[in-house]
Amino acid sequence: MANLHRIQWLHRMLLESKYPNCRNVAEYFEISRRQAMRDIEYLKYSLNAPVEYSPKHRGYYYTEADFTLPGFFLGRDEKQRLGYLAQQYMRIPSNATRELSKLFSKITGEGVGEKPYKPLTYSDYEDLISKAAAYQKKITVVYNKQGEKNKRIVHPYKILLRNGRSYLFAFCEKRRDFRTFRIDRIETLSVLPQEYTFHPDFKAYYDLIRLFPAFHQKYTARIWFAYKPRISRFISPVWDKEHNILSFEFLSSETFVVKLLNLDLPYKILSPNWLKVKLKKRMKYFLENL
Amino acid sequence: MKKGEKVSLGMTWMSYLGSIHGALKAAGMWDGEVHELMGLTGMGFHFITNRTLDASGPTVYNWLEEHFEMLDRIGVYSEQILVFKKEDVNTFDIAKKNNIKRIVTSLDNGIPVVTWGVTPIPEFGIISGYDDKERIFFVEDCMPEEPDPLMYDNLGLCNVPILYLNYLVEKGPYDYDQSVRSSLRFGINHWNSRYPTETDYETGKRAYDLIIRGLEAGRFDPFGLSYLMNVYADVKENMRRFFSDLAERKGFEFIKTVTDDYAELSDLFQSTAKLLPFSGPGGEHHIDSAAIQEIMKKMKAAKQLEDGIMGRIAEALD
Repeated sequence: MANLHRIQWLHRMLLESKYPNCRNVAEYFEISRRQAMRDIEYLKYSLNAPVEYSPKHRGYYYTEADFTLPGFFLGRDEKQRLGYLAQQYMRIPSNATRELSKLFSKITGEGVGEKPYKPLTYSDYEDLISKAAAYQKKITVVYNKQGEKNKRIVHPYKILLRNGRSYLFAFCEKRRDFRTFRIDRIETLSVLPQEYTFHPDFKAYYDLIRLFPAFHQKYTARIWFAYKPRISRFISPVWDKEHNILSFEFLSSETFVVKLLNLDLPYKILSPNWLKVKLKKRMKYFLENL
Repeated sequence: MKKGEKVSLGMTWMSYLGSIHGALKAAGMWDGEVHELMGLTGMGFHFITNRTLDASGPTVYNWLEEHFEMLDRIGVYSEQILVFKKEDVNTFDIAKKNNIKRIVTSLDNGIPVVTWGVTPIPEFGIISGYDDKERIFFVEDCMPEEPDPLMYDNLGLCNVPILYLNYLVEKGPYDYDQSVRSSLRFGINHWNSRYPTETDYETGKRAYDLIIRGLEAGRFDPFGLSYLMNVYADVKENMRRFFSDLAERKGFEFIKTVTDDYAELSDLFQSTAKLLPFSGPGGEHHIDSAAIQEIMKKMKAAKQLEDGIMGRIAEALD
């Protein structure tokens, strides 16, 4: 069964002749296009809604303006879909999703374990990644980059759609940096029980990747600290314990300032010089205008 | 440009014009205002868009040919480098390496360099200084905040990756009246001709048709439309000022026949831009149907006005 609030939203858009399409639905609810298509198909074939596609408007519309959504009932198709959801939720290692899985199985009257195991393909990965992201679960992927395969643990943040392809925007534990993975190049994927927390620079990186996908300028900074800071807050950090110097990468002076302001320990910026000059100028302006 | 001197872009939404104004001023090759530079170079006649009315229009034209001619009209000899960063281009890195040296030489001679993509935003900007030790260029862009420097290694690698560098070599004499006539002829040609390279783009009167058809069909990019209208509202206002000054110049009295209409044209664009407030990349750009109807009406009126203006100028020049 498609998510009810999405169906209600779609129904409203169709009644108002706003010609929703898979892309709108996927972007509005941050789901995959495939999932959005399933929602539209559910509306059309399971709820018998008079939905048709208009090539002129590039979206769907109702051929009968007075169609209303039926009340709650459970047909064979819904049972099958609930069964599917029960299986998907069972794959996510969280008590809450397991409970939901059991509930769906109970409604359908079938046990989850009774279904034969079907190996996953990359087309299932979008769904799994979306769920793992929703529950902030780490995932393991075997990624094939131009024939070179490597295994990584990543923190899945968002699925990005670009030029008809799906990408995973994530934090890579191996590189300690943000990475974008083409989902069709993921060979195997499994959801881990461990949860992740968002990296402090997530928003700055995500906005940059979303708006300017080709731009990858990163600066390197060297800072002396009185004692070792929590290095997981930094990108590609290298700690020189002999000299108490941390080298790391940063995206912009904005993200750098925010990071420094949140540090509660003595430090001194060693490089780059331009940043020291810029910060001094900004601080002077700030103090003069207090 | 003295060492450490602040270089600023001229105040305009047209990033090339703003950049070249800032670079020319810093190099001591121009001391006029933005509207005069826009009119005299001919850049103020630009009016370009594509079928989806996206934000690319104002920067999609033949940079090499047009920038050379524009600067030539004000007696500035310039040289340019344009190399696309593509899989089938082998020499991008060589071009980058060689031009880092050339930029440094130009800066040492007190001449800033205009370039494409000094920050992630695909616009023109200025390289105004460098630090060889840290391998960075100090840059100026069209945003209000001071930009972070551009690393040598990232030259030409903005979101639309093109290595474009515009070197101002030397300023020579020029005949002002002849340059104005050349600029006006460029404007008339731009108004009447088809877009030379990309079939999806149109210039001048045909660009108006694309805007009107896009609005009628509801086929447009709201961010792009807002950006386009704000850029061209700024351009039309600058050109209104240029024509107003020019009408007082001996030999250009015929311009008096178009100044009132040009003021009306600029007003139409200013009121259109107010209906389409620009909130930057990633911002919300919602346009309601009443506003679309209003903009369509304004664009139809603007096209008619500008057609009359360009027709009268063409007659006077013949």
